[in-house]
Amino acid sequence: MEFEQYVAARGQALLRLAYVLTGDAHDAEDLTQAALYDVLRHWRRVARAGHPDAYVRRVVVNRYLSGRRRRASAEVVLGDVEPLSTAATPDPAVGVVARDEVRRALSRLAPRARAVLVLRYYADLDDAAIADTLGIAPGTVRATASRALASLRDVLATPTQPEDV
Amino acid sequence: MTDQLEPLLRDALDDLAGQSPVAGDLAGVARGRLRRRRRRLAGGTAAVAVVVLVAGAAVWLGPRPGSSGPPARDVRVEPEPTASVPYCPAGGDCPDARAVDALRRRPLHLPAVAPGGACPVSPARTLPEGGGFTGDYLAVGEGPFRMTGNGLVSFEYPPGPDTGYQGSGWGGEKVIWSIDAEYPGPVLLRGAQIDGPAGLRFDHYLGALGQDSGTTAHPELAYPAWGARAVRTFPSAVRLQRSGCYAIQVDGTSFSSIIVFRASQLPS
Repeated sequence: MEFEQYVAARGQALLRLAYVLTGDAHDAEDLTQAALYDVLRHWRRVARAGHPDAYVRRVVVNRYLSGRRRRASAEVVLGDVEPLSTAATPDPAVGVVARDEVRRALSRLAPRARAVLVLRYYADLDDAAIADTLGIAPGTVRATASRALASLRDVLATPTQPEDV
Repeated sequence: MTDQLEPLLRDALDDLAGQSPVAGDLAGVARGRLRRRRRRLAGGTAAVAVVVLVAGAAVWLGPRPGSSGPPARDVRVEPEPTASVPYCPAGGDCPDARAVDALRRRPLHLPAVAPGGACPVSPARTLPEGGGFTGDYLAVGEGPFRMTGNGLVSFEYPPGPDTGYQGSGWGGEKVIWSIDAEYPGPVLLRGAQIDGPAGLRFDHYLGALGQDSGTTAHPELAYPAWGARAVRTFPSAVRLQRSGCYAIQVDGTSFSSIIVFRASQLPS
């Protein structure tokens, strides 16, 4: 398979993965382009091995993690979330608000914790595949996911305060 | 809510993915970047080879003890790339300094883009071969001065060791300017990020060729009058520190135009 064919088929999916990881359109484009550049440099070997998805996903995620390490450690990606609503009315908007709260809570996780949750709940990978992608042990994946979910539960259980009152 | 966290998490991530930007020419950008890297490395190797050859020739042609022949010829090493012309600094005495000073007095009128807004990259058009291009080539800008390529620039920041810009504080990427045959006068380039506060600098790409320390990131770039002969192209580099939407105001004696391009930072 040619590199161009692969990117035509999978480029948008890669960009979506990058966007879910970074929460920012510009960062996602930069991440995807950087990862594809890395992949292109080794494309013959990648294509010969067949099933390039796993390799490419690994490059995207590791590029994301190394990029986050290089940036200021205090930086928090908030993404394009809307301001939180504190209304507790049982209307359909409550689902949207809940998802926004989850996204906001996700953006506050450490990069590796976020990557683990994205790979598990967005990319639908099992723990072994996540471990392979991140280059860590499956036990570490499980521990990271468990801590990340606990952290999300804590954040979501904390009553939100209106901003800029 | 927390009892249903996992399904909620799936929904939230799916929602977020649905808002992802639309992929552009990802393969083309990656391949272009690889091509530029190979060209850059080849250029560096060629420059080293030229220096070695010329040094060897100098030794061969130089005066030898006891030699009674005619004086050896001067061996002059011209800086590469030869298509470039010297930077014309403010207050300098290059031939077109006064004309460039007049261009410099023109106010900047760069467009503005809201942070996170779409970058209005100048439309690309296909130009026929010329100016060193052996086939049709893409360029952005209304002319007579254009930036070749599709208006998308990627650069390493912090600049890595193979960029020629390491330690300079500015990343960089090679660009080639193209000037129509009809325009004979001087040109002045100035620019900045238009969706954020970052600056934009320029150089003559000499750093990447080992001809310069790579520390010179000029706030403007001037090309003296060259005379109307044919399409001419100048290798150069835009020097950057962050991703974003950038505009260059190009002033010539008979025109003023804006080139908008998008720069993407790659971790080194």
